[in-house]
Amino acid sequence: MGEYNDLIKILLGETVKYVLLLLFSVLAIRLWRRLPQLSARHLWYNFLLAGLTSGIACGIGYFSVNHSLSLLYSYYARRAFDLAHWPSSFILFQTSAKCWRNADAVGGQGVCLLLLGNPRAGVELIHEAKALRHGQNTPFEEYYAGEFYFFQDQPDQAVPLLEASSANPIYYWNVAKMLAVVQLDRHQTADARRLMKPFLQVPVQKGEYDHAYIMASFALIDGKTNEVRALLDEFPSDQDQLNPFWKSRFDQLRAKTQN
Amino acid sequence: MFQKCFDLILRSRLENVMAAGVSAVLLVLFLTTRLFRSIQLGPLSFAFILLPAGILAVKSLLGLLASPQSGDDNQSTTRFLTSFFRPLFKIVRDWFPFLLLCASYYSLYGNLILRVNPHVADSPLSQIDGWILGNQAAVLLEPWIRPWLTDFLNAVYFSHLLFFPGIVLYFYLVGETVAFRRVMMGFLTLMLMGVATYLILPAAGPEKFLADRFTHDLHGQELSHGVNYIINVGRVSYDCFPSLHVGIPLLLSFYLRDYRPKLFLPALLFVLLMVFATLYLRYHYLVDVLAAFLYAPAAYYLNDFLLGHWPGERISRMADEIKTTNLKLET
Repeated sequence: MGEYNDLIKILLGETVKYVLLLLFSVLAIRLWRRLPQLSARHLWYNFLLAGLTSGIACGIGYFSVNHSLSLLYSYYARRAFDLAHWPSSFILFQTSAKCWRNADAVGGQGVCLLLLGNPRAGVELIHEAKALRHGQNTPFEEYYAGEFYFFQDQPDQAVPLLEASSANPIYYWNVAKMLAVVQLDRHQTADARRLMKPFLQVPVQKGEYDHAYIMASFALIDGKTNEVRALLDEFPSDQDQLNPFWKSRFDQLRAKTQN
Repeated sequence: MFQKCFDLILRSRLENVMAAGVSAVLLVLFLTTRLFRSIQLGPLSFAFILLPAGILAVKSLLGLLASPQSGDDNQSTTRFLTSFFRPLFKIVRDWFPFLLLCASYYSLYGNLILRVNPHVADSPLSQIDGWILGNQAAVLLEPWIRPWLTDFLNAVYFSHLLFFPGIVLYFYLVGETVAFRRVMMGFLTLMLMGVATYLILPAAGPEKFLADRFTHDLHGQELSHGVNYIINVGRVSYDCFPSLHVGIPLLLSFYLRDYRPKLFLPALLFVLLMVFATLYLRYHYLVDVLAAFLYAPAAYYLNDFLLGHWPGERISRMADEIKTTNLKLET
């Protein structure tokens, strides 16, 4: 439904812009064309009106083309983002914002900078996008900002952002896992179990460190050490791709199973 | 004062009164309850009203651009502006009430679906199909699945979005205002009946409900993928019983019988293709299609009844008759 609403907004917006442009252009042309036939009494008024209408038509044309280009670049930026091409996505968002400074393009740039390892500028841009939307961020921005704070071990800042982003179903699963990890870190196991309750039967996939960590923690609390070891064996701590955030947690679990 | 307002309402076109009335009800619902939270433009508002109205507006503007300077252009600027905007105002005046009604009905549906009745009716509908055919229509059609047939029927299914606006636009362009308004009101009467039934009997359709019973994929190619994308993006859920994809072309064929009798049989052929498409493509149960054959004639007669008995319509008919008589007398 969200996709449909976005499509409707774009279709309506584009149609209104270009029909208005056509309307004012035709009106301006008609007004200029009738100018030589007018008597002096109507001439000045018509001349002023023709000039004003032409100005409005040029203005609408200029802003319409810029706005459309901005939408186009934003669309390609999102496609590049979905393919995990962060630098290309950043440049496309930047070009989009140059054409028409809008909150989505600014927020998109911010998210890309977060992922490209420039968190300070990224967070600044996300805040700017929020200000442009009068205090609101999109689930996309909230999710990636929340994820950033989560991996920076700043759960107090991460949790509200992640909770807000879970309104969009595409982030729900990842958000549930991150919030469960936060609850486990706070030793609030019951809350973590409540968050993961709908997904307890979901098998752990390769590379899903968060899911593996949560399930191993639950198994450890339940005293199922063999299950914990089996899960941890799939994610050895000397693995290169294991980031420090997970490495420390997996090492803690390992230490607990040995005790 | 009250009498004057009442007179004005009775003298107005039926679609204006209905659009104002339904919008006022929705506004009250919006302001006083939590039932109604958003105004939505459905795909039919776009395809059936905004698209032809937009084409007319562009045509009108291009016509103004291409037309030579007339003697009227020497008049005052205010008069010139009035004559410039008149055709555009006429388009808005003729089409806007229908857009408002269509959007209101869709919004009613979008806001209230599964709230009036949270239980989906797929099970009883598929049981009725089983009782009629001994099996499900979409399952029985599985041996017929061919990629080219899937593509062709997808094209038929999609052409519904062009067939109706094409005919309506034609009536409007040739100046058959009565036919135009009758067809539009008929469509909206059918839509209201359909939306009311969707709210009472929401159903997702065989594609979802019988997903585990299908053994063959529909094997559509590029064309089908494109149509599927548009339908999946634009389609509203639980809009199964009755099939408006069959009902609307059927209703249109009744109007074509009245105004263009030569097109009646081709229109019926299109309806039959649409019946086959809706069943083959797993969008509807057979009972939905059968219901459409009851809903379309009901909408046709109900609409004619409303138009025939509304005072405003009678007054405008009388005015037309007086005009014609005067013209005859003058000649």
